[in-house]
Amino acid sequence: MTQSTNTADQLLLKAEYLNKKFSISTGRGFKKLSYYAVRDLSLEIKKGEIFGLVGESGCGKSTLGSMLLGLQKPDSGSILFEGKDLTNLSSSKLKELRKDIQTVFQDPYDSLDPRFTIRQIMEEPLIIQGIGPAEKRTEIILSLLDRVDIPSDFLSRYPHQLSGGQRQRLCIARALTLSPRFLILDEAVSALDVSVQAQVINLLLDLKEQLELTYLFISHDLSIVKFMSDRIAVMYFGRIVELADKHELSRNIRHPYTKALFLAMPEPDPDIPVEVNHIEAGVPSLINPPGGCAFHPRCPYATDRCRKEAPELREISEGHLVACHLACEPIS
Amino acid sequence: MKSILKNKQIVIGGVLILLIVLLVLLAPLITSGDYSSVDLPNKHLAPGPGHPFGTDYYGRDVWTRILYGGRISLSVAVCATLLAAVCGTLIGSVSAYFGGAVDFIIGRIMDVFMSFPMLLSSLIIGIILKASVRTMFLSIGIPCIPMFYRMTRSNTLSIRERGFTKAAVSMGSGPMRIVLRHILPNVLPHILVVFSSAMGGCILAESSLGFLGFGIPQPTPSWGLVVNEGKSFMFQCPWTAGFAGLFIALTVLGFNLLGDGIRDYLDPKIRNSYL
Ligand SMILES: Nc1ncnc2c1ncn2[C@@H]1O[C@H](COP(=O)(O)OP(=O)(O)O)[C@@H](O)[C@H]1O
Ligand code: SF4
Ligand SMILES: [Mg+2]
Repeated sequence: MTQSTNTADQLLLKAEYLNKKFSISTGRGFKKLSYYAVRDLSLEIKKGEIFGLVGESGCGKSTLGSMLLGLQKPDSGSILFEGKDLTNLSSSKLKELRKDIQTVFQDPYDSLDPRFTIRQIMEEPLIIQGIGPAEKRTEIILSLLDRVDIPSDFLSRYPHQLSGGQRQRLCIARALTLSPRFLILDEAVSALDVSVQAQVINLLLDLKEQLELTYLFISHDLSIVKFMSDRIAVMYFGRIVELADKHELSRNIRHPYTKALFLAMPEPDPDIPVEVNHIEAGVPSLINPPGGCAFHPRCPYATDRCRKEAPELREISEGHLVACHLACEPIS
Repeated sequence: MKSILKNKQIVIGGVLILLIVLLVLLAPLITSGDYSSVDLPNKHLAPGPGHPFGTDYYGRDVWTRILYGGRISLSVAVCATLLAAVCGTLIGSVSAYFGGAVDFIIGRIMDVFMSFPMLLSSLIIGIILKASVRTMFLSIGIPCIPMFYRMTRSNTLSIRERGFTKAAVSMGSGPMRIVLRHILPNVLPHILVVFSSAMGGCILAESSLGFLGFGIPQPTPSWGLVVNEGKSFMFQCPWTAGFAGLFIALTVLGFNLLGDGIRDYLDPKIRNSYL
């Protein structure tokens, strides 16, 4: 991991002020309720890093991921991938760009068409992108299956004949067929058994080094994010509340929510004092978001200011951003 | 393939339908072939040699009439079901795909259709169209469209949200390819299930219309007509309506068994691949 500062700081992706609103019908007439799944969210991902995104289920991680993937359009904001804004590309340019950004979803059973053979699954992206001839496609497929350790005589099998781990490795191989530079891994190991999880995580780490990839690693599980990532963003209620280098974050937690997440980890870090009380109140409603800091109903440090005024995401030291009124003093 | 044959419903239903279709196809070889000439001296003969199912009020051979009638009834049912399947699947996938106002309007039209009993819709359409062998399938098929529509729509909606369709979009696939390569192939087994039970429904609808006197007009025999003619002499010669009814019942049973069997056969598979 000896990168020159020059390349280490090269930006791959820059998202600014992303917003995504959903509306649901109330069941009474045509009246709709709307809520933000992602709110004024900005982030930068550097070439070659593993950027971890952690937060409770429902906080907007997948929505963010699918916007970065170009599957959903943000209501406002921009997403620059190597300088190109993928929120307003023509459909042919977008199709071209799709080769560079690929994804692995959470559920390997759901992300493989049960009627396709392994060969058809692997060949689909190549055919869609017009990569050929057939011999070349076969060559790409076989070399990738080899990388993810799936025997080549599986080509004519169907997904239901594979184990969970094999399926997820197949999803990873499929995501690599178009030689992407950026992979969005949305809960990519969360559905797997613990033993298989370790195997897939190691595979992902190896592939990242071999193929010089950049990852956005999304999970609700902080211990896995902490293991995988170089930098970690903590998301709460559609916003990033804390973002820092992994080591800095373990040493110097500034946001009460991050602290709560660390405390909830199965093996709490011995460096963190355990006197902070566990968060009690439930997750607030998206439809009636609390005013001020969205975390205040659950925050043990909440003050009057927190109830009235939403904190900005500010840089409190080199590369460490926090959105909390108390962030200037470390939490004791 | 082997495991399909382990499903009793599929086997029994399939064999039943195969037998009936075979009898109907072989009618020229195993009957006198004369289903319409009147032979009054021999009317209302009980089943016996020469007339395995007896004769009717005009002295016509019931066995011949039923087998030839099967040709009409089965082909009307096949055409009606095909019509409903093609229209329903098309409308259902378009409705689900476009969503919004299109989906809303189509949905309400289908609701109106479904709020009438199927037989009533068939009757109304039949009266408007002046039922003949050629138009009969329309009056039976059109009321079946909502069955296919509903099934296709709900399946399209759920398959569209599946990971593999999202993955295909993220690879750059357009909507056409997704519908043809992912959605329709995954809806197809469900279409088969509905097709089979719709076939049974259409056979029954044709017979009910015939029984009520709104069926295919004389002298073309259809099962519905044979039952209708037989019902007036139910007590003098129960074999006319009885044997026609038996054929109808066995055919409907066959298609229903087949439909249920296919559904049961697919279910564990689908469940396995979903989990
Ligand atoms: N297509 C959608 N329509 C309406 N609401 C949605 C949709 N997708 C996500 N949401 C809502 O947005 C919020 C964030 O969802 P998601 O991004 O999936 O969170 P996460 O991945 O962190 O669990 C949730 O409350 C979810 O119910
Ligand atoms: S701003 Fe206030 S309520 Fe929000 S996290 Fe900081 S201390 Fe807690
Ligand atoms: Mg998610």
